[in-house]
Amino acid sequence: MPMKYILIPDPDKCTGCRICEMGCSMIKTRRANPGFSRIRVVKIEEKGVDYPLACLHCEDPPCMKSCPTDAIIKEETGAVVIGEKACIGCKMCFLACPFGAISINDNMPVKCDLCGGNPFCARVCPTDAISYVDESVRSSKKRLEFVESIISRFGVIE
Amino acid sequence: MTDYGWSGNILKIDLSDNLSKSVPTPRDLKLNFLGGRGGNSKLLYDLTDENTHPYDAENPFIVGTGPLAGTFAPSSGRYTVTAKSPVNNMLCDGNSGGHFGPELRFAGYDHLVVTGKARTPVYVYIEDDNVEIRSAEHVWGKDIWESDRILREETDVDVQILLIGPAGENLVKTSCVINNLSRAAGKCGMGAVMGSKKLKAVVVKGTKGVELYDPDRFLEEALKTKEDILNDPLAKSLSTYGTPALLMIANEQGWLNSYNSQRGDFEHAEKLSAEHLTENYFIKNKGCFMCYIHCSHFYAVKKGKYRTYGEGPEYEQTGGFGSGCGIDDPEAVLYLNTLLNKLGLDVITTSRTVSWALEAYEKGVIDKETAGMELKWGDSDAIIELVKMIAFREGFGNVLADGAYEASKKLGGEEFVIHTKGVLHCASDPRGKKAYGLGYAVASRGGDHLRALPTAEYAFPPERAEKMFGTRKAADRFSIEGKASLVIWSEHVAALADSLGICKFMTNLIYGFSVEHMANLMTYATGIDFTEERLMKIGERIINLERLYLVRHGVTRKDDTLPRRYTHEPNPSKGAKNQVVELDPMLDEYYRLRGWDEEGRPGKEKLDELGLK
Repeated sequence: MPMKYILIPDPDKCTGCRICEMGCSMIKTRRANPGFSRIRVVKIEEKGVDYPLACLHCEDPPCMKSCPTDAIIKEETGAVVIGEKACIGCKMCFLACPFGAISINDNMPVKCDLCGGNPFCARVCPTDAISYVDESVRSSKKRLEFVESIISRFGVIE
Repeated sequence: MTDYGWSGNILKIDLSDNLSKSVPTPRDLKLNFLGGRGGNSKLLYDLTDENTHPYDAENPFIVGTGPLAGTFAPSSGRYTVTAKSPVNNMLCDGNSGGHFGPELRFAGYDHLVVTGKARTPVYVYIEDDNVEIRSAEHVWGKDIWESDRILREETDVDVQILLIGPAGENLVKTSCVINNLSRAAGKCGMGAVMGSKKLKAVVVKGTKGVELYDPDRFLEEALKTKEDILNDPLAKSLSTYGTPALLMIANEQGWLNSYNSQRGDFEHAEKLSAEHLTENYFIKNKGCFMCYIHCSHFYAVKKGKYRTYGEGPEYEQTGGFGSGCGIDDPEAVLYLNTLLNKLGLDVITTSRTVSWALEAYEKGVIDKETAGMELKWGDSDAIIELVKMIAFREGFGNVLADGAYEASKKLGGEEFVIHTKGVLHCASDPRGKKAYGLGYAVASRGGDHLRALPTAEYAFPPERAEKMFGTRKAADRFSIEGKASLVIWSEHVAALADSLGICKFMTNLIYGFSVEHMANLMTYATGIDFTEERLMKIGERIINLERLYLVRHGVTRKDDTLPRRYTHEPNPSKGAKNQVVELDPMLDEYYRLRGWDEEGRPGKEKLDELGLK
């Protein structure tokens, strides 16, 4: 079974610079326009919140289920992608996505396709606020971080 | 025809007649002044003269973005606002980051020019080609954060908003304009110009983006530029701590504003240090549009009487309201930072005005009866009160609302107003770094460190200084040798950064965003062959045009000056012991190298060379 890589946002590290948006727009459309980006930084400025949000590539994707022409498929890597040829632009997927992760470019729906396994947003993010990691490695790391954070209670070594 | 690089349009709005129209950006403006500050200065030069009053309907409030703003170029989130200055009736502008400038470009505009005056408060709503002048009665009088929230709710969550607070509405001359809640175009009372037009805000949503001539090579060059920025020796410190890191350096080197620059060091500096702030109050780093350095922070004071949160602070805050006003409590300094952002007051000129008042009180120039209160160094609560009084022009605040320079003309104490051409200086004492002194004296918007930002005098290795400025001593902060040449080069580079729409921290503090990168990015963005030499000539043209504007207003050598404190009172602090600024020889050399006469007027030969008249 192939390893499953996922795109993980870390709002604590995100500075809100939107380099991911501009990078995505450049790579996907060769234009500088955040509106064309497949990833968007959601901001609640007064509270200092910056959250890079893109498609989460669900296991049971509502967008895929809502697509009347079966244009949306889940690839072996786990990426949920829109097949341009079959897409009729009805925007049912746009309505179905619970996260608002599908945008409309020139009247057609577009979404993150994980850049074929090497997402540009994660590569250009200056603070690793977007990381593209193996799910199992990520959870091992998280377990270790948790144990490290409480280690002093065990009284082994300071 | 597609206009690569530039958006290609100037949006003109007349508030008196309730009209707006979009006109093509003139070719001369694009090719000879680029955009941003350069384009704004050119527009101001053409639209106004010495008879235009800052609060006249004819005084334009100009917003300029720049051809690299809103692109994939690093730190390309800047914009400039320009108008005739309420402070000294000459040229003034302010520059800010965040996300407003790029959005105006995405909507399809290089510049926005607002003239006229509305009869009742209004805001301008721009959504690409759709432009509306809407009532702002419901937000007039409200602070910046609340107004931002209301305007966002009634328009769109994704809009970008430039706006003024009570200070701008009340024509306070230390008012600024703010975007993204905490990003300020600070100096010279640009907020008051908006206030005089009853213009509360400009709200923008843009969906057009920026078209690039050669996007692939642009992308490649932008990534190379990023590498050079991140490899700069200062990058790590600026990324981690931001400008507050300067405070301890300034303290050690004797150029910290302490007690209105009576001293260059502060006995409680540690408490205001970046390390202390980071450990206790900073929540996370914040970055402007497309910035890899992210020098700003979100901070929170979670308990106590100065409970607050917000974005910042800069060195100008910790040095201005901290050591400058003798406040050693970082929580009060952070509280003041948020307060100023909500009221729409400029940190530098407001803190300088307050610290002048404190010194005037100490020296007996102002008494308790005049001030209506006791004014003591480090009295945080009184200073907070005074700041509010300034924003609302209440009591003694009404006198200070015109800035320290005008207040001193009424009350005395002119000799310790730290200003040039009426514009108050930042928190860097030039007795500890001489190029700054020259930079303040000649800056086209009055006493200002950002026109030159000549950090090369301490950042460059001596070898590089010798190669570029003819002497190793240019890299000695106490020497005056080579400083004219260093300031001239720095002014040209800074003018380019301001006019292209990029952050000059990347060009004049970190030096990774070189003129070569600018030239390459401009070539790939526009399809026009830009070289380093061509760009530097444009930088020089912008400086000379701004100088011509000042000369038109009667500026001569007598105005290119520094406060007596800097030229005659020896610095008492250890890091710059007994230093004063020897301005005259630097000024002579500066005029000569610029091709200006002994009164600082650009010579005919130079003007012909630059195509100016």
